[in-house]
Amino acid sequence: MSSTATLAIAAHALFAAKIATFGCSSLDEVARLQHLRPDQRAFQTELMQQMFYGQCVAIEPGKLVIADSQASDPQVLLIDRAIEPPGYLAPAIDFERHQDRDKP
Amino acid sequence: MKSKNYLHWMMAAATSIAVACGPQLAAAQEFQDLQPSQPLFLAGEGSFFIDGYTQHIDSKYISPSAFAADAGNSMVNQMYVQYQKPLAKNGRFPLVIVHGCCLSSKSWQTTPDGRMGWDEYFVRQGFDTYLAEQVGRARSGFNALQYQKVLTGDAPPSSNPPILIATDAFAWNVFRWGNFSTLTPYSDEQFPMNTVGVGPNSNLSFYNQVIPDLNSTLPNVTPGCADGTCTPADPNSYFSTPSAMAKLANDLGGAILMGHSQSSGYPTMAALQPGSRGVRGIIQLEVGCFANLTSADINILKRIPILIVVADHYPAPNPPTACVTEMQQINSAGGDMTFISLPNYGLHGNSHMMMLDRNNLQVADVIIRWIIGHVRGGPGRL
Repeated sequence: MSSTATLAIAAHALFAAKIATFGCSSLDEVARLQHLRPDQRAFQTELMQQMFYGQCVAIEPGKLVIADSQASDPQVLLIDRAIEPPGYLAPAIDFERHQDRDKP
Repeated sequence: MKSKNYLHWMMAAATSIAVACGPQLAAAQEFQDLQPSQPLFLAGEGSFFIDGYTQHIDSKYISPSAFAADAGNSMVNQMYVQYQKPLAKNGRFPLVIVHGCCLSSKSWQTTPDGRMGWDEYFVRQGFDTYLAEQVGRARSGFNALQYQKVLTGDAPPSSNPPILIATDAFAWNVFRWGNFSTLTPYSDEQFPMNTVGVGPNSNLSFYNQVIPDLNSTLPNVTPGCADGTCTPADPNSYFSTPSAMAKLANDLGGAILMGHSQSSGYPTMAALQPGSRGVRGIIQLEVGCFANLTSADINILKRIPILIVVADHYPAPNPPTACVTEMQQINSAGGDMTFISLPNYGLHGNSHMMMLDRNNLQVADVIIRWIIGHVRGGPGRL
């Protein structure tokens, strides 16, 4: 099931990071990091730099995020806008819907 | 008569504080580096916390075991704030300043080579100045429960959030001092490189300021948040530095929020928090821009003057594309967002740590001039 389809159901949905990933404050930076990702050293260097410039955050595997339906690009999730507005843009493919809502 | 007594009390208090803040007792990273300065007259100084929340700690997570009988509640994710209020105020809104990654409020205090820091300088310029420690950092403490769960075998070691440990190589690269492999600073470098091992009689005193970054231990979203009803205003849901900054700005009746580096986006995030009404100015040191703002966000931010300051040897593009986008959105909506690259103001060689650079007070003056020109009003004149 695609993230887009899931998001069409509800304005907010809980997702979990499947792998170590990131969120950024611009689509450009998300695209740039995705482009660099095959080269882990270059990717980590860029991510760390952008974290230091307040443009991106690292997201650990298993971390829960609130996905918002306002993201315009289906390959991108707008996350945590509900709690940390304006939220961050993150690669949708790195997340999966969190099914067990009662499990802390 | 009553007001005269009050004046006497104020003067006595100010004198006491001035004596206590004299240069002979000021704190520096290396005592011998202390520089003399004029007496500082304060109307008050102190500290407090923006509340976190309590979590229950089971006896099995308390160590050493001799204390296990003391199971109970423990406060986590609070935000420590210290302040100084000058006797001679300038009538402007207070400044709330937050440090960046791997650092603490020490960033704003005496420089590693013993010169006046921004905290003292802004106070001397008449600003009530509040230094906040990021939630989860330094005197704000951190949530250690997860690590205890690993210690007792209740959680796998792999579940421990990573702790970011910044090295000297990391500092050279990110703080933009020059070439670490050869320990060669930029020819015009303004950072006091003698505090990071460069040059004769150098030391490593700056590195005392670099501390572990535990941001990854900050609270996870709870499933109860999934329906969108969990907001920062919910006392049982989520605590973060931006939400604490928003509360502090509210409590102060208006404040100018300044964030550096990792915290550079926090003032904007604070302004966008539900219930936030106290942010009167935003200062972003070394970026913190957002190209993902909604029209509702822009509607809020267009009412708040915003300043971005970047230093020298900045990686291209400059301004960053996110800043260009945000400035276009804010300014075309009638807002006031300014981008300052210090070299364009005749200040060359400044590092990411501009508040500690040798010309740090000149950089502070750039900020003060912007405040005077852009942030209207002051306490009691909201």
